[in-house]
Amino acid sequence: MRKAALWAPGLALLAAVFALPLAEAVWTSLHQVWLQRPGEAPFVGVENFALLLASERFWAAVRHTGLFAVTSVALELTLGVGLALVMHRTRARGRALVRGAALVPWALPTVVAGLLWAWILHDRHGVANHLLVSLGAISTPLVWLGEPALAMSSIIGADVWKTTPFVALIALAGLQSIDRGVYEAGSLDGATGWRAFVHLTLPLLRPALLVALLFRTVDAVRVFDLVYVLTRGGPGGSTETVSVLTYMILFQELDVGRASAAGLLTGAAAGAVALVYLRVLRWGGAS
Amino acid sequence: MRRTILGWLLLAVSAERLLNVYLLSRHPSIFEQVDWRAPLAVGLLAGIAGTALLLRVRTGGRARKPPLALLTLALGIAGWMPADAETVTLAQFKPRDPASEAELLATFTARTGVRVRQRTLPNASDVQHQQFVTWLAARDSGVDVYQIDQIWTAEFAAAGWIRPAGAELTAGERAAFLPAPLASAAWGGRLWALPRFTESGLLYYRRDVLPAPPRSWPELVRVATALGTTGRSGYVFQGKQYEGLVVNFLEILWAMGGRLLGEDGGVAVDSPAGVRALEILAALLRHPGAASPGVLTYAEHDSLQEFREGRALMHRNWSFAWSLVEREGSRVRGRVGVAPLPGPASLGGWHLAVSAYSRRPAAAWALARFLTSAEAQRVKALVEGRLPTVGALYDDREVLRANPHFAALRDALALARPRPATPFYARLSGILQVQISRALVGAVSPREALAEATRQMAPLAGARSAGLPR
Repeated sequence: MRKAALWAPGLALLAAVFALPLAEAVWTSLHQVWLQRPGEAPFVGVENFALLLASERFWAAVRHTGLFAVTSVALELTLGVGLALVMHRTRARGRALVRGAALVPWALPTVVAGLLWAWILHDRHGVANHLLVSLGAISTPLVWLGEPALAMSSIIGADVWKTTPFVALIALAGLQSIDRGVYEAGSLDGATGWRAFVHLTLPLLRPALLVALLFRTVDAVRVFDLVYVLTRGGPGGSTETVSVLTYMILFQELDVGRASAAGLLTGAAAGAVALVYLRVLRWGGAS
Repeated sequence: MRRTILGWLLLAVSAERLLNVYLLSRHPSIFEQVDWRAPLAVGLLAGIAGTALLLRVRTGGRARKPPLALLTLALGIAGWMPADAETVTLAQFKPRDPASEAELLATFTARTGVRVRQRTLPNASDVQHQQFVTWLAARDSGVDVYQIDQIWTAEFAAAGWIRPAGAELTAGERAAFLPAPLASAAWGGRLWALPRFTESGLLYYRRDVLPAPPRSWPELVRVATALGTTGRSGYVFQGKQYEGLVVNFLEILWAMGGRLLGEDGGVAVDSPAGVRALEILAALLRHPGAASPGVLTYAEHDSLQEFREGRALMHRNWSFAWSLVEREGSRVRGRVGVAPLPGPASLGGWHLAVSAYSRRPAAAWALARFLTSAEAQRVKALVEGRLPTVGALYDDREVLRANPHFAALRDALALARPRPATPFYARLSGILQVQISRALVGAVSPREALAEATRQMAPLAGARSAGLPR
């Protein structure tokens, strides 16, 4: 009885913020709920899901989301670990300053970061074109957000800029928890420099990296704000991700049922990714 | 025990309310517009009740009545709180000149005794649409008058979110409005809103370079291709994947004799005229001097910036851009001509509609009528350069002195066409946005883009509001 009193409030909170909205979304996704027709919600079974899965636009959005997630997370992980190593090694006086400065992009609200990048990438006034042209890297200014492949790359670039510090922070915490004795022992066996990194640092960093990977992938699968601010899914729908499509279904088509179905599918995808990582994480911990 | 909890709870509520009023009072501009008396009264009452409960508990829980003095005070405050003067809420984007807007609303209050609260939204049209739809679908009665983009009229009316306006206007009032904006406030044979501002697409051109504006779209393409360079392009328009792109396309489509929806309500855009219209936009982009590839990322503000910096010879924008072209800081000031587009222009503008969930419809209509009256529109025209929807103001000497270009605009407005009035306009436009954009970046040919758009739009066209077309 006393035990129940201890966990009941937590359970009630979970039910209120998690289970109820989820149940509501599931209910909505099985009905034809249309904002323009309040009060009418006929049951339609899995029609909302079927319509989505049969639509080419949905699969295009899945492809864009996949491309974005894989590329951005891979880049963020690589750069993040590099940044963490630099921050870990720095013993100079400006250490705190460097660490603080590295975190600035991550601390910015994503929409603000998106607007900043929209200015940076502007074809006439943007810093990006100005720098690249004056350095001679390109001969004519590029229209970063006006050409499908470039637009997707630009969005990935902006995301990498924004969230690499997050990965770096987690990796840095992992690095600091590694016992220095390991390296001393390793150096006796001839593991220094690159070999020490590959055979000592990386395996010991693995739990921290998996946490970073988990957070980043789940976030990347749901990416919305950067895309919405930079391209609204354009040009030609080439950067429309699943979350942007969900937004369009909800606020352009006012079709709450189908939007809920799309939201649930996104959530399921993110959940599946999380489960895979967690399995790997536990397995890694046991070995 | 329970009384103690209730007492503290009431004190917490009281503190929260009073803090709220205190914080509000530090922003005089907001303070004047919000109703602060209700939270103040609730805060005081909750504070007194909470104190009473706690005091009663502390004195040992004997059946002592809550201190009589406190109760009397509470009743006194409740009585002091003035009867809530009738207040209506107006939701709109931030006025260009908030001071003159506040003055107009104060005039309205002085005359009718109805106070007006403002809910100000960001300028981006889709952000307002999202917010309004959320409120209306939740049957929120917190907003009485909505300022809506004229393309939402049919959608909101079909949903039953706004009230018919027909009975609110006398024949004389009706006749005072320009026909085109008034028509865009109607749907299904009924009037649903009162037009407040209007807009029309226009062709801005550099009259120091071009002797005369082009008379047809093919001529415009020829001029842009012949005279445009990468540094100063021939023509700049709105090519980002959004509503503005559809507007640019429709204007050319209409000039080619095409239509988005046919007489029977079916999709008619996949036609020779449609393909020609899309090819004109594509042709402009194929030649790097004719239209700089940057237009694929431009909305109204960006294209205007390009033109103001002297980087384009011709520019399509709404009528509001005129005062910005001629303002200080514009490099082309005094060198710009304005002409009708080569063909029908698209009509734009904003209406005032009364929410179906308003609890004070009479006061709400009074506000909508006042703000769309010649008197109020005159102020907006003089101070903000807004195009009035009342015809007589185009002959008003003072208005014309402040806005000399209005005289020419009246003719352009007579030719402007509204976008199709259907409850599914936002969906049709969403499909077109993607497909037109695909053709412009060269992912598909114009013919393929229009065929695909038609395939996706077909279930929507002709569908009335009866069921959700899937």
